[in-house]
Amino acid sequence: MSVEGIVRNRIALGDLTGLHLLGTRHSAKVIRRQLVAALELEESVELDFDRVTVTQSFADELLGPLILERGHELLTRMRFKGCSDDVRAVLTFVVGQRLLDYEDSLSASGALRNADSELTSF
Amino acid sequence: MDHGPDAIKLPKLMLAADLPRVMQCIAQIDPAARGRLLINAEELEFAEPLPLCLLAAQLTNLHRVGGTAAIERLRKPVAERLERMNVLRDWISTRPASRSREHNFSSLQVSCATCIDDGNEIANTLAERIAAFAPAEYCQQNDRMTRDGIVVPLAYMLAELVENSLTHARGKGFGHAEAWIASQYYSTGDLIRLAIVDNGCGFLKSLHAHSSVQPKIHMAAIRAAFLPGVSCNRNVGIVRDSLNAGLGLTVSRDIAIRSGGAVWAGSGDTWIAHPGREDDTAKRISSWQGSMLNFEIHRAGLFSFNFRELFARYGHPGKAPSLSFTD
Repeated sequence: MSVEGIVRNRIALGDLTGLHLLGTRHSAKVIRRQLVAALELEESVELDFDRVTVTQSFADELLGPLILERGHELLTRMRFKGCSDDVRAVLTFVVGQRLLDYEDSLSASGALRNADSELTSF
Repeated sequence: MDHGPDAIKLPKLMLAADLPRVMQCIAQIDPAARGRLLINAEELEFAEPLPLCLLAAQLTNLHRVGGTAAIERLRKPVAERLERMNVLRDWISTRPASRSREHNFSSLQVSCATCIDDGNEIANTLAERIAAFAPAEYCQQNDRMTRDGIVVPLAYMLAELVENSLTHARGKGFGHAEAWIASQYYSTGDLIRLAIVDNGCGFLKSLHAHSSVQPKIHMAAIRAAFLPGVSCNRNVGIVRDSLNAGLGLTVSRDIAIRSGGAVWAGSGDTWIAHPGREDDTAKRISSWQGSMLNFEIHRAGLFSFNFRELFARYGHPGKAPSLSFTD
């Protein structure tokens, strides 16, 4: 995979891969690592989907683990450029699902903390 | 080369609709057999993608345990087509049968995926080839929109299916699993046939622990695999470096059906037509270690495909997330 598509705060998926459709989770993982590196250096990062379509699996693998880790904060630092209607639909679906999972995990850990404090006070 | 009474005979037509008979034939290519197997293809006139994938997969299973086989007496036009496919080339004997008759299978592609890196490449290449072969009636608006209308949903399906075959199928001690993908499209009409076969763990082993597989039989596992959100390892934690959502197969089925096509799936001893529908029908077949998927897709129906509508069906109701989209 070339590094042509990476300019500090911008990752152009089409330039990076030379492919029309990005589908596999494996290929998303590689780009996610680059996204994580860019987020460490930059306040905000742009993912450029110009001329590219992605599957739900690819989008989920690219963004899902980061949303589960960082929640809404991640989205305040990201812009999605050049998205076709199809890509917008896929991203909206995936992000929506993983935000729900993130909120569920917060509720679960909150319930655990409450249970812990009840045990302590007892 | 002599054809003794033990030579395996391929039937005249190898059709997915006749899968029980095809499987009986494929099952004769027994990896446990000693010596060189002869496969007499004298009568073979036409083969659809699914039987070809099964044949290629079974010959590979045979090769893996040190067995050898030769497909002999192929008619010239059939031999020419099969030799173009890298997955069968090694098995075809160069001496064709004398008679020949051409069937209408205009283009045929078979690929073998052995590495997860292959997925995107196969999906893009195959979808582009199918789109480039559009019959005349679909070339009247031969612009990018028309091509994308076919390429995007097809590549989407292919990427998801190869992904499944090279990840889920490689669980439960089947790390060696490979996938065979074939498509067939014709000089007239808009039908595209697509098949993917793997020699992995199969749906039942993959989903055995899932609560939706009840009872623990192949039929229940195949049906469950088409339910949204059912995956062998749907992971909503942050411990692992990878996730699963259990939607790839469901969405692939929906693309085929919304195009006006149909879907069949098999694993173990079961073959199901229209999995996921209440009126699906199951048949017993000779057992296959791995999974088999067969799709009929119509080009005309792909043009109107809309991912927004599709995902709206599976998303949770409520407010859409606020994403910063820019042009």
